[in-house]
Amino acid sequence: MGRDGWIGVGLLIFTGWLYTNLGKIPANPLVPIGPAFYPRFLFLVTALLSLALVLQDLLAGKRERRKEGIAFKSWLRSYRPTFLTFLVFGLYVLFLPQLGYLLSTILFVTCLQWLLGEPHLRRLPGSLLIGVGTSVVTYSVFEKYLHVFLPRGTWLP
Amino acid sequence: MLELILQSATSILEPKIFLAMSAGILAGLIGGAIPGITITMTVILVLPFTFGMDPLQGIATMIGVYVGGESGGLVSASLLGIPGTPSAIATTFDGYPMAKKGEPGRAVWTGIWASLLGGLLAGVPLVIGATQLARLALKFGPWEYFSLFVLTLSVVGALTEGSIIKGLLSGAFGLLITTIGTDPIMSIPRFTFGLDFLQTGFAFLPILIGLFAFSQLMQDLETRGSRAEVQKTAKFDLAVSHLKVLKDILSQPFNLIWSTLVGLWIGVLPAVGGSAANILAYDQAKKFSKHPEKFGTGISAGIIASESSNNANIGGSLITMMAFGIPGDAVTAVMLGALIIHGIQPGPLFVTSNIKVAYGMLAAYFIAHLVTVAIEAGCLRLFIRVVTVPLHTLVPIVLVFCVVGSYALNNIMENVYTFLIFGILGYLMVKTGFPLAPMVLGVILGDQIEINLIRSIMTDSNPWLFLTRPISGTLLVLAVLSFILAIYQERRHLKKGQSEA
Repeated sequence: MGRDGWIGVGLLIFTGWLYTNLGKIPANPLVPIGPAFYPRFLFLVTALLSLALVLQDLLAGKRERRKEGIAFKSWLRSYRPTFLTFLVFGLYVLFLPQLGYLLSTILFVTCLQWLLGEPHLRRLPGSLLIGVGTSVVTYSVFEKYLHVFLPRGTWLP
Repeated sequence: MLELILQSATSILEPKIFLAMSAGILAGLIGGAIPGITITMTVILVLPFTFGMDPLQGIATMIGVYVGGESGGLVSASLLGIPGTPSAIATTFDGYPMAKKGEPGRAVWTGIWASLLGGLLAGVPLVIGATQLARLALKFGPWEYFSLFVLTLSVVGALTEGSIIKGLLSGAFGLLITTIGTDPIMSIPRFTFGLDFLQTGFAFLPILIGLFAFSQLMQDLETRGSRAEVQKTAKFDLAVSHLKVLKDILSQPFNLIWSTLVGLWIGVLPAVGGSAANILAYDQAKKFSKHPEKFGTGISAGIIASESSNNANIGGSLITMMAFGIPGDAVTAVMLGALIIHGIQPGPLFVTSNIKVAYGMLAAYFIAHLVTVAIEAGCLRLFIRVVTVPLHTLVPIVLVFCVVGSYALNNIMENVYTFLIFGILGYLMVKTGFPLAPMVLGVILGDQIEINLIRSIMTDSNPWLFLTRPISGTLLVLAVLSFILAIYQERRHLKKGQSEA
């Protein structure tokens, strides 16, 4: 079975698991069609489509499945910026409530810019400048003019 | 109707609204000019700035971004051969060769004037369509609405590129997401798993920002590489005789009108945007031309077709959005979210219940087109310069705006987590060949589909009414036909591929 087939199986399991949770939804005696009616209908449709995806994949056979003979190194190189962004952005979102918007945004923009470009030390001041600029300008605009109160940071005094 | 639009135009011209809209146009033009920053992304970036505005000001700003963005793409497409947005891809086919032949000014200004004319021409059906279709929509009962939304989803699921099953699964998944939180009829919690945050379900905008902005950025990083510097801009002589350019465009009335109609039609189709409109219009212009062999060598006909169609596409997208609350493309999907934030419920009652905002939108559409040309005339060189901003500088800044936009919605971190989750999900979906448009539409229409389904069954438990009521029945038949047609096309495509192999 190919990738699509496994996705179909995964979706079947997922909808099956959600289906078992339908019993936990309380019924309403005043309305004959309970709140579980619509999700049940959707689960059925999703399960049928997932099954169709599995069948389509099985019928396609191995011949039509895409085989990419890309070397691990070149694969890693092409995905490097993506993985790096996932990692740095994930850390930013994780520590945003603790470090506050100003500090975490300076760190995030500086680090990601520096890492995505050529990470030479001479580029660091420029990246830092853009990081500080982005953080301070957006903070000022949103806090002062648009009255959007951004996270202050629970770790900060 | 005309009186209402003129009245609304005076509101739009009030300094507070006009300046905000002009700033939106400028943002759109810049965003549209930068490859990798789509119009949807620009609208998403501008959205948090509109939270504090009154509804008309906010929506006029969004319209400004939309109109500006469609025109912004043509600058980099014509002068550098890099389409700033997918809706300017076909502009590169003739715009860039024309610029290379020593006529960069003519290439750019043919696009700018064609955009203006296409946009203004599409404004007429927009005004008539949005107001008259809204009246028709008032006659719809829950059966008709349910069938209309089913038709919309099936068309989008079937029309999107790739596997039909994946398109439909994507739509179904979008609908499933809307079942999380309290149900829209009886307010009974469903699938909240004890999490307070899920009581009201996932907020719509962070999902949209994640699906469109985050996944798009990740793809750009992957395909273009973060260190890819855009080519250095040469010095262009953009001087041109505007009279000659306008004469040239107006000497091709069929091309202009037909391309406008193509753009309008593509815009009306749910979730199919300007990226399809410009290529289809270009293809049509080539087919109808007496000299198809000249297309691609730098002729004005190609630029006119592409640019008039992508601006007309805005008009079409706004028709379905204003009349039925169905987004014509990703940008109008974000605009629907913006309307909800401002306390306006999109849908068939939108035009009649919000006359000021609805007619203000129509007036803003026309004024934005005119202001766009004025801004382009003054800042054309700026747009060429911004194209040189490297991706590694843009990505972190755009991501910060996405975070602020998600957070500012309710001032809670959970919306940022929602954005991140759906951003990753969207990226994985694109990587595995699942289209995003049906899922977004599912998220937008989910509650409405459920409400109308339950209402119709509660009114009359006879399920055959969905088929026997004329409008509802017709819509469902069309849904089935679109599905059959899509299967037929997919099979034909498959056979063609096999025979070529």
